[in-house]
Amino acid sequence: MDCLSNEQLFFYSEGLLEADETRRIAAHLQSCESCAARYLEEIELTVALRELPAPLPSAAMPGRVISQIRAARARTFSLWWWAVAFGLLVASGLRWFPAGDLSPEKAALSLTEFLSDGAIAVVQLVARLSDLNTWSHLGRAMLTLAEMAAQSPLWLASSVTAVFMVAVAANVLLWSLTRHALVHR
Amino acid sequence: MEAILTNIRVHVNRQGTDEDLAALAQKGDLPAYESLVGRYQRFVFRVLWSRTGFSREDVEDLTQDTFVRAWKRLDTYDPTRPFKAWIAKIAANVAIDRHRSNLRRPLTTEITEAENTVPSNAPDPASATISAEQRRRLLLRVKKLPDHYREVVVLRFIEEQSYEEIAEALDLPLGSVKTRIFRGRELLKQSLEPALAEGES
Repeated sequence: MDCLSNEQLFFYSEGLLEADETRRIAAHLQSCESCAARYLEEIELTVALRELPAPLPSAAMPGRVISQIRAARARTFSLWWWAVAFGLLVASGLRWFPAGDLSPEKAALSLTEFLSDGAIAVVQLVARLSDLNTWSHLGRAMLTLAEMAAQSPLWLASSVTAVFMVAVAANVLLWSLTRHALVHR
Repeated sequence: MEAILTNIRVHVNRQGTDEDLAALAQKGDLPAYESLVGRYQRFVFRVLWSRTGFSREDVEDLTQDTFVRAWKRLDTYDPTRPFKAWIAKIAANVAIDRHRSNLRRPLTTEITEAENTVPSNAPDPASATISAEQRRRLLLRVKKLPDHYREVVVLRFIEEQSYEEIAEALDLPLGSVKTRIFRGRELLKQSLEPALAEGES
């Protein structure tokens, strides 16, 4: 058998070869001093690389990651409240200055749509209040709320808005309670 | 019921698989995520260390960025797949973005004081195979390897990942990982031989 290539020696040292070739190389290494010496060099390089002084992250890393996430979450949360306030403002504004004509069917349709979107938004809020995905649902709910408010009688708009606000408040309370329990267990 | 048991396992016993922890974290559980960060900080740090400019402070920042970004994207993680491969891909993207943003500093060719004093996995001098001087030279050679060789060599020999893990983490075919590791080592040998001879004479 010819002397071994560097590639054969390295892959042999890493145990990457088929059983047949592994056996052939092992036999050759028994009988060839120069290949045996080169094989030893491969092993030495591997060991030397394993002993290199690679740095490790500091022990404070997990804590720092968590504080950064909490800070981002707090920012999102306050932004979210601004969005709610703005949405309600727009909704009430549209109610007081109605534009275009309206039909009872359209109002009923909008109301159903609003209620289902509102339900989705509330479920999303409980699950992932801090996540930006909430925005799309929230945006849709707000839009429908605005449309509906513009097209519905005053008592309906006011009571739906009140129900919505109570639901939001209840969920925020629930959210902060569960988060508190999770974070300070 | 299963979910409650998982919760107890993770929080009471601080056990549970990575995938359990990740599933909890997906529901917004920060303590579960903190445990995951603890488990993978070293791995992510080394992935980034092998790909970027080796400045310890930079790599530390990038490691933090990786975990914050991973948190925001947890909904893209599939808990039936290994967490390690997923987080490695995010780390790789963080490294690429960093590269693009041109913030990358030139490779440090000297081992700084800081690097010598930071915690590392180096063995104590008495049990080491090569001298401190040879080790310093070898580390320099590794740092000077082209990126695509350096990252696989570091992951294989310093981080001691399997070939399959490296292929998955870097999204490379297994064959390319083998070839790159082999060629990277050949480059190290070529550059190391004169240095070692010099050291011995």
